[in-house]
Amino acid sequence: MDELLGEFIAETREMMDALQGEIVAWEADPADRARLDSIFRFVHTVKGNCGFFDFPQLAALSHAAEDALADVRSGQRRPDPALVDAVLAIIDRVAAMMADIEAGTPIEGGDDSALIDALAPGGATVERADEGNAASHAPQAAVSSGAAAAQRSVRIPVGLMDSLMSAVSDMVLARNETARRLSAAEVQPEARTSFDRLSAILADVREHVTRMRMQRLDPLFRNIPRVVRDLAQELDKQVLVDIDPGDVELDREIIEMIRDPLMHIVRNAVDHGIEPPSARLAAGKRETGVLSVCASQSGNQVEIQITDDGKGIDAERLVARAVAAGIIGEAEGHGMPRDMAIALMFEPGLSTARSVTAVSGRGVGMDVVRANIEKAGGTIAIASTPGTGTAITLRLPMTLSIMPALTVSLAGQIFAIPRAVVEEIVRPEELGVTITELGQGCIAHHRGMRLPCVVLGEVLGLGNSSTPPGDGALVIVKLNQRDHFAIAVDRVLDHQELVVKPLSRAVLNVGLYCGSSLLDDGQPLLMLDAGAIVRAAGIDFTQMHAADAAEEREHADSRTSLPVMLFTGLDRRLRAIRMNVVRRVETFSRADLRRDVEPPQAVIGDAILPLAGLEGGRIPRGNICMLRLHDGHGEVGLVVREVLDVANIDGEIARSRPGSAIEGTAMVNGRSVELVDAYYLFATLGSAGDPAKMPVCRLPESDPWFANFLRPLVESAGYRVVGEGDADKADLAFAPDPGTKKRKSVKAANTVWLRDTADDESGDARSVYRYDRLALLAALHAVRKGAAT
Amino acid sequence: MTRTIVVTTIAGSRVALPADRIDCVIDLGALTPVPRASAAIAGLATLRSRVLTVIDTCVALGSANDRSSHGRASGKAVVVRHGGHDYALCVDAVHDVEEAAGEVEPLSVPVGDGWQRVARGMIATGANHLLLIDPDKLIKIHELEMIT
Repeated sequence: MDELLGEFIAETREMMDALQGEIVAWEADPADRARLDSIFRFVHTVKGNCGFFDFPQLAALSHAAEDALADVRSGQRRPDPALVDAVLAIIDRVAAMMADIEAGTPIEGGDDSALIDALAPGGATVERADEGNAASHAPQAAVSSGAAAAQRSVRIPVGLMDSLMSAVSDMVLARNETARRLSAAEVQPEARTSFDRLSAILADVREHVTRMRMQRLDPLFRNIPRVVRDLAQELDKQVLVDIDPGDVELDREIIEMIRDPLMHIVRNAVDHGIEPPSARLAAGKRETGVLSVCASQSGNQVEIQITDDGKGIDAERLVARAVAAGIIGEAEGHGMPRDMAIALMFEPGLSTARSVTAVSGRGVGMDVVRANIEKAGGTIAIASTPGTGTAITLRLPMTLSIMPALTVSLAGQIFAIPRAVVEEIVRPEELGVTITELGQGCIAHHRGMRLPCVVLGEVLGLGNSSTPPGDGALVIVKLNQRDHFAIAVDRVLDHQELVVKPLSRAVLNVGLYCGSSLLDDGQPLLMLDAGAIVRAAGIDFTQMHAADAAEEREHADSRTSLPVMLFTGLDRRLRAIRMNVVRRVETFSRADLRRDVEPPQAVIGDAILPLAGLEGGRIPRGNICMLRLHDGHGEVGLVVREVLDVANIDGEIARSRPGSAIEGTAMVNGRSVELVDAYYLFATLGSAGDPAKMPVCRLPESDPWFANFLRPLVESAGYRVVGEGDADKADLAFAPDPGTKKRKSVKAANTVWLRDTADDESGDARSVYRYDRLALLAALHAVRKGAAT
Repeated sequence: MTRTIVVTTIAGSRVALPADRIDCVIDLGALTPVPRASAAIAGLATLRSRVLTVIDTCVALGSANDRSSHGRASGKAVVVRHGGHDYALCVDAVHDVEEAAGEVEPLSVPVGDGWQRVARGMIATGANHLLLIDPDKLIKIHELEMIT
């Protein structure tokens, strides 16, 4: 909460600084619409933020000012000097309050009703001289506490961060150069050791610098449930929040820029989008509305989508409002297409909500939202269907970010493809992928999917020198949920983390590249914009999807059939596994196989996969082929001798007895095939073990500390957790220590009492300080050993 | 006000460039070609972890025919910052840095379309006059050019 508060104060102070000039200008010309808008935004933001924190005085003030200004904005009231004075007095008062809040002292001066009354038309005038004291008091406090704030975090100009980043990149290149020279020359081992140390430090520095710029979206999204909960409660609505920050990282600066817009959108969705429960029931929906916020990376863009299943946007009302506010003419409003009408939402001073609420507002903010998103170099799009909901999509660039990329070679030149869009790499000769050439174009059939295939050499005009499709490698790209395609390249080289630099205008104009970067040897390379490449190749996904849908329908009509992948195990037996659990086929070197652990593991990149399928045959000497299986939570590897084909099991499956590795036997193309039981594989490999054999620990479920802090520790120590009420026999229990006298017995073989203080007064060995991690682990370990024997 | 100029040979002609616009002079190594880019873009090069867009000045001036081996014969280029990006303009040779003897004068004779588009005027250096090339104009041509 402190962090949030700090942000609130910093943001408000920043806005206030920026506002100083505006206030003076507005005072000079109260009819100035742009000034009015920016002052309005300020009080609106302050009001919105007060919703989080408990500052009723501040909320009351800003709400009152907002009301008055909204009247002016909608043309219901003319700004007069009295109003200007009143608003300015309130802004001064807010400054004073902020200083008090920051200093952590209670807000001075209790009664602001005079200030609020002054806002009313014809209200008593306020002597601003009185407020002068408060205003002069504010900067003083701000200076003193500003010094304290500087210790927590420092604001750094982005330009400086950029030059630091570029200097570190230079250092990496210089390091590589030095490494080359060192390996050529005879050097003392000591010199090599210190060079290695230097390299390691540099790697650290580089990581830190990178982290300085990049941030995951989790912290940004983490606030959303709270905002929604508070707002829903206030409005008597029921809203379920579904948050998915994906695996997306975004430039810190961009995150800062979209923070407020995102919150505005979320609040608007709850306030204006989702209906009250009664209205939802009447409309035949579930009482609880669903708001989902998810992020995904597609190409060089990050997409954040905010979707609600509310009532949608009332386009007609928007048009009527816009006409009333004089934004568009009446004639223009007639027969305005729906999407244009919805876009009116972004006009300043427009609102659709009939009633004013304390937290959201009147459709306000959407103009600010768009301005801020565009300032971050992004775009915002709204799609809304009356009655079923609204989806707002923010698309943001990732310029100057570290991007994991796949490097590929084509006609002797190296290109990079953003890793985020790469679904899989396929080498045709290994995998039974078929490529059909259709005139100039070609289609890849891969695991039952039909993918348009882009021959990169042709798109880039390097076709003549490149190998024909199918001889090289295919990179399967997933632009979004629906649009998949394959890019044929000569060779796939490596995964690399690249510092992406923006392209010069002249190169950007080509329209096929989204950035450039440097290889370790200092050679520049171009990063391909996958979306642009597929467009340049003239591939039309809509037709593709139509054809797929038709085919799917056909399939559905024929019979339910089970798509499976056919392979031979190391024991050379023909087996099959359900297609939808196979994530990809991968080969790894025997050196990455670890057989000294149980189950055996494969180390692939930074992932460690438990392996099955190693029994019953000789392990190949060179590369080992495996199927990476996933169950939505984790992955396991199934080692195979050879992947054969994709097929459908149409007939019956002769089930084997449950609990064996083989689910059953079926006929595929006239041959009998063993169907591998994926459930069994995950049950034996994926989880820590059989839950029935795990030791049991009893925790008081009512105490949040136990649920949030202790439970993960207990579970990671291999225990199954039960609550106080559970009848299960517990091997161990943890309970809060009320003091030796007051302890009530807990149903468990062993009980450990957790006390709040580090000092042990009781001298009881069973009493442990709750943050003494080592002692807790020791207790868990001791009981576990006891339970096992 | 005296003006410092860099005397170079571009596309076979001796011309002047304003010294204050020139970041440095480099020797170009191997370039990374940019497929599908306009012919005037010779490729990408690096200068201390900065990526440079290399402009083939011969093509840019429309005089590619006489020197189609490009101005990269000597592998020299001048680095110019434009619009927040670094560009390297290929030159045949860099001769000298001088103080100009006078102000920039308007062109008094036709200098050909290619040169006309990029010249800022002419400038006196000691005995003779040189065309003063505006590097920004030279780069701008390619920013606007539609790629076919």
